[in-house]
Amino acid sequence: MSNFASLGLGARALQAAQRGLELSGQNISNVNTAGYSRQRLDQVAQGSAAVPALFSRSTGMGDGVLVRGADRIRDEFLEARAQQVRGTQASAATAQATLGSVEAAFGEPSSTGLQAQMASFWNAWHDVANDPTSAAPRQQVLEVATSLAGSFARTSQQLGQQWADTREQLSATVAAVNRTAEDVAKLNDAIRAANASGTPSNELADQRDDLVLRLGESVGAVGRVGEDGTVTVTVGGTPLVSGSRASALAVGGPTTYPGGTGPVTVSWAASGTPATLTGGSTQGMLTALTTTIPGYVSALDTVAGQLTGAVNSQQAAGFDRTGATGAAVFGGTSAATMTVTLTDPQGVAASSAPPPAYDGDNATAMAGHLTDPAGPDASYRAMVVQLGVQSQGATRQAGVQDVMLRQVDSARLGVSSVSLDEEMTNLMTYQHAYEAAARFVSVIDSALDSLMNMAR
Amino acid sequence: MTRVTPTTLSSGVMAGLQSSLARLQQTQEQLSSGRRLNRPSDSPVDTVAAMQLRAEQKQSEQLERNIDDGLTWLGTADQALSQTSTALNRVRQLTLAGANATNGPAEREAMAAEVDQLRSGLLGVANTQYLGRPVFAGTQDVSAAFDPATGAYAGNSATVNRTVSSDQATGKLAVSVPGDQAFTTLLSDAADPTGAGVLARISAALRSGDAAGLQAGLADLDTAAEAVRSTQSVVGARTNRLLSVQATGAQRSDAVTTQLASVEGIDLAKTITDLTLQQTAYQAALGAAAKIVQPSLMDFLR
Repeated sequence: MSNFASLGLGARALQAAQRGLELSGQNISNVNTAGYSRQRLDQVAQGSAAVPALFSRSTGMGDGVLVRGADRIRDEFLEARAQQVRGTQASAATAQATLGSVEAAFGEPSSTGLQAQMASFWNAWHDVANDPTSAAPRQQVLEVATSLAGSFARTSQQLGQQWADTREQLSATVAAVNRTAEDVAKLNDAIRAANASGTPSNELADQRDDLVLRLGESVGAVGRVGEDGTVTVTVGGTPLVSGSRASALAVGGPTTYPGGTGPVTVSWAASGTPATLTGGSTQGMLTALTTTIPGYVSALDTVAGQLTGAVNSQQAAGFDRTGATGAAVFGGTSAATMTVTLTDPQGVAASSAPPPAYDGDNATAMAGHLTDPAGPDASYRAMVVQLGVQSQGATRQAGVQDVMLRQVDSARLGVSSVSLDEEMTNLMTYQHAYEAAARFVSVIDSALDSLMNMAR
Repeated sequence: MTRVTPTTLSSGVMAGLQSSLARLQQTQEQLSSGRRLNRPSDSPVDTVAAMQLRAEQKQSEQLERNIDDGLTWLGTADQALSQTSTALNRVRQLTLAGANATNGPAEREAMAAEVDQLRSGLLGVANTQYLGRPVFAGTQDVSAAFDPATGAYAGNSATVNRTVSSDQATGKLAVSVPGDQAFTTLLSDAADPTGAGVLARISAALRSGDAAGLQAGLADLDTAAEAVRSTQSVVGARTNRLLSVQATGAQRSDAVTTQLASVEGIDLAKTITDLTLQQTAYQAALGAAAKIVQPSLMDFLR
């Protein structure tokens, strides 16, 4: 090993220390970059020739250091776990938000909600019973009935609006997912090319993994790193991104509620088979569109139907002011279409005795529906309590998922995020290494100098 | 051992501050609305109780109005029957005076005229109305309980009822008395060949000087006066019953309001204490965060 070769060893040592300093600088400048994984210098000691051959004799000393590149420090298992938990957390948060909006639409328990209005309606019949022959309490009953029908219609319409908004959000989310999947495929392509040619691809990989996390949040996608550095992203077992090919999802079904045929579906655009969603905000939205909101709309329709039926049949059992059997008060087939069809106050059937007698017993019987255990008030109460239980459950679930997400993120970021203290220490280490290597070079230089001056 | 980096530190600090603020926000919502139960999911069990109590509250409001209306009906009837009793006493005096044989035709004519006057006054009282409905006509839809010309009863024997409690079986009370039960034969008598009532018969007997007729009329008058008095006592009993139901209802209404407040409302002292504690905890968390996040190795290197 000649002195001149030692200079090369010194040069390589200086380079390695310099690369180390640069890498620490890279880590420090990206300390706040979202999705950045810290990088560490991958250097390996060079030994002398290890394979015996005719002219490969060596003194046995090493040949310096070789910098192979920069390693990305991240834990793949924690990353996969984070994708899963992100998906379930987004789904739970969406469910909580949906039920919260439904609760706001009903606004119970309060003195202005549907229960209070129904009670006012039944009580107005008592006033008719107290004075069955005069016009004022009858007019009052029709007024209260009109505002009650209006409240039913308004509540139903609010739920319908919520359905339409969620449907629009679903379309937007699926469109964003398709775009993100295409971006992941492009990045996969670039990374594969970089790996094949040996150029560094760490930053591209960071970007791609960030996009995969977002896919996990949207559709509950899970990514698996392949041999060539590309990631296969699957949704419910079917690949969304495979190498540099990206599939697309499509949303089908009606865009207004109620309307159209069939439920809302999320399916693969190419084959039309429904996608199996195991998490993500899309799953939450799909559940809201197919189960939650339609369930409460039809429950409200049931209450409205019970009210209409009870009032109309009681009305038919009595006699109105003209002596005829009472006509129907409410019309309409659902809560949204509920109207008051009786316009003449004389048509309110207060009496249970035919003329010439005129008592208020039919009106009293009508008012008695307030306490009917099988009546619309009882059904409405049961529905509100069920809503409360569901909403409470969803809130708890979302809370639990939040805690889990925090824990998983904390563990994941613990491995991959940059610690400034560590980078400071590394800077000191590489600085000393650089100084030492520089010293080594000057020592070799003076040794060479002595060698030169030896043969004068 | 997990690495702790500025990123994990700051996300942990933010998570802690967020949950502290969320608790603070909930307490603040309770304080500003005065209610513990702002939506069904706050407590589904309490929501059931709250909704039932609210329904009961609305019902007892209405029942109170019904009771007030019923009391006025009974009061009107009571007043009319008192006036009737007074008039009948005067008629009795006149009948006894007319039975005295020393009266001449002119005096008897004067007494008969007074009895006629008292009869038409009684007819007016029997046709008393409350809010446009005759009080003594039962549930018949007529404008007057007794025909103004003949005094015949134009009503029916059904009673006007008011719902005064939520009990289906015993909740309805009658607040009227049918006119034929109260005034029986005073204004018109079906057993009489001409349909004339006791008062008309007494007036005729006074005019014609029919002593036997006066005696019979006196007996009939006593029977009819007895009927009026017993009707009045029935009305009195019903009024008492209604008053006691009203008192019970008021008590129950108070109890329901208190219960509703305890289910839905906040305990003001406890909530304010909670708010203060949470504010202190939040400030402590902020202070701790400020201390942890700042220093790093750079402060100590030259």
